[in-house]
Amino acid sequence: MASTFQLVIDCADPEPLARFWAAALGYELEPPPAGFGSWDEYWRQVGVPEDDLGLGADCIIDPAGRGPRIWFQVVPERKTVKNRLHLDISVGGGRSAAIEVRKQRVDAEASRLAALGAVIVAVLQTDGLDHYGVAMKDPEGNEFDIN
Amino acid sequence: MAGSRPYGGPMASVRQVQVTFDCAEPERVARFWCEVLGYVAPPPEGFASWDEFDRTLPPEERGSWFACVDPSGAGPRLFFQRVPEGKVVKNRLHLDVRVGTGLVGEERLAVLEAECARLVPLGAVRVRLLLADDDNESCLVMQDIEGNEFCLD
Repeated sequence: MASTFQLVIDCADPEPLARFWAAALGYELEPPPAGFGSWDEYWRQVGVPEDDLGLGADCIIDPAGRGPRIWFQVVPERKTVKNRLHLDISVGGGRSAAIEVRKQRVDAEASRLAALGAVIVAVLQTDGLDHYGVAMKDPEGNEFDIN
Repeated sequence: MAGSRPYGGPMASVRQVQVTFDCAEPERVARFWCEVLGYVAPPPEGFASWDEFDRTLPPEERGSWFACVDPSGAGPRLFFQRVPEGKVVKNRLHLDVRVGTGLVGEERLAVLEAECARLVPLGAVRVRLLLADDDNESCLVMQDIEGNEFCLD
């Protein structure tokens, strides 16, 4: 049996993180259901208390309909340790691309995401190993890699 | 065509995403998730089996990673890497396995419970059932064989 999944990422402030990851993955903010101008309008209609509104968009989807939906779930606790799950974004083109080409692609992507609020943590490169990556953190400190 | 737009546009044109799990035993956790999601774990390119691949590695690197993919090609690859540290807090990223999409009430609960009953013998742990409320449909919280939280929803 095959099942699909959605990825859930705990956070403090969903919409900025949703916008960041939409830009990082080529996703888009999930539009509110038909007939509603905003998610708050929809949630109000289904009876969600006012105190729980005002979070903005908290889900992103792959416009191509392939990749998993991602839900940014508000939680009270902050991040304390390195995440045990993380995302890797591959833009280099794999080992069929020359290492110099991959490096240029990866660095360009790391710079693009840094301008959107991510932080570059480290370059992942070992002498003699055919790999180039950049370790980063998203605007709430979640680790991810570009390679 | 590959290479025709090496850096073209604001975003690289070829982009692949995977979800990486830190683990104690990558193959074991990967095979569990294959069972959950219907993923498959073909050996690395050029090798007939994972064992054959592992024999090419120095002893300390054998079994250090494992990967599985969606046979339909739609879902992201899952990558499992061995790390020295154990899990200490609730994960901030988790998977919701969508077995009950579109179902409500008793029918939904029956599907979630049936899937839970399938996964427990594989080593999953049932944590708790969250019943539907104003905001959310019912969902069943579980943990995989290394304690990573996931939900059936």
